[in-house]
Amino acid sequence: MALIKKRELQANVTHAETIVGAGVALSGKLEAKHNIQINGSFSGEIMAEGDVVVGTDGEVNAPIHAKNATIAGIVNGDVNVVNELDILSTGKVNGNISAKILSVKPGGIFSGSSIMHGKIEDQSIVKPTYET
Amino acid sequence: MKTLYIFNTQAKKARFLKAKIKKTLENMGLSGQFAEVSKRGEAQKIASLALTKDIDRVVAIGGDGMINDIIQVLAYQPIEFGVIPIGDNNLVAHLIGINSWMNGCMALKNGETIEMDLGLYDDRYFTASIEIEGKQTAKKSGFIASRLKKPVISYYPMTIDLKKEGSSLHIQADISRLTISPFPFGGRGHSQDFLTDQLLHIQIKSRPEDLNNKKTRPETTVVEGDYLEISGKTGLQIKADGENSGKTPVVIKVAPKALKVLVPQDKNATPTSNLAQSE
Repeated sequence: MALIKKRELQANVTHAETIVGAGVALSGKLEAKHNIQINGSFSGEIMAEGDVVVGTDGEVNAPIHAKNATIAGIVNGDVNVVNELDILSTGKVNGNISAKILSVKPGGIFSGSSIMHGKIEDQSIVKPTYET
Repeated sequence: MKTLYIFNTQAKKARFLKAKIKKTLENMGLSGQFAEVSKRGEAQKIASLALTKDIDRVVAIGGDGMINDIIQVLAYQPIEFGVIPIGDNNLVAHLIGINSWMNGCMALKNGETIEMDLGLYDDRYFTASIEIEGKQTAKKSGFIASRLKKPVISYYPMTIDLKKEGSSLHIQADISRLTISPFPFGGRGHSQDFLTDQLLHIQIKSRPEDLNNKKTRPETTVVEGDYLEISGKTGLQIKADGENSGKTPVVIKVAPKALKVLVPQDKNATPTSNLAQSE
């Protein structure tokens, strides 16, 4: 199971055009028209028109605005996504979230309030959710 | 069309290809003046003369070093630039889709002109990349220690301030290698989109997390912007298009649509930008 999750995460990584490697510290405002992968530490603000992935070693102290987000590391800040927010088993979100679809895997931690907005356009996407 | 060919007699394949290239150009009906250079800097002087003599096209027959000399003069000038690669690596030629000297001749005959971006640092232009090594390997002193003990590897701390419309980033990392290119890493093609995205693409290979594990590879960070300042450790060697060209600290900018370059019309050519994979 863990292997599958790792593969899922790695699959996302390959599509990221902006990547922050582990051990690298970034601060400031990051705006991107594409996907962002963060394995290091980031503080400031993230605004992506694509997806944002926070890897297992990633730590983000910033609000995130994105199309979709997958959190396997730590996020201290609000997460606003247009579609889907995935908090994986190693993920931790301390902040408020806004999304169409929220998925928290067993072990994942979400601390804050959530707003589920809009209709789910594609009804075939049905994901189990877990209360924490 | 008045063409000036600048031929580097010191290029790797110069001796074998000189007559062949001249004959091929002649057969294609491509005439022009030929100038030969043998030292760094001569090509830049000759290209400068082209500006005063109503030359429409300058063609570099050589490698990346000579191309770097010539673009210093031709940037933002109304002169077309062609490349016939006969150097060691021919990085620039590969970037613009020219994979061989014959391919370069064909581009002169049937190619199209694209206004490609260049990079700019300390008032000098670069095409392919700027590279800065931040890793230093020091052997232990003493006869036995130098052979038996592991060398000491250090990674210099660097600070990079990066700006882009809407974004402003401050990056801190212990650097193994920093590569900056006006073109996307691992990209393919010589299309207008590829050569003119008006951004600098920055790849940071930073210190591996586990230094004791030989299999651990440097962490990679990829970001983009149009202006960056590199500070932190001073005096690190900067290589621009493969040539030693100054030391840190440095400010690097993108020079949008700076060079009118001839690229092959054949869209099926598969040029590659291997800068990112060169390590």
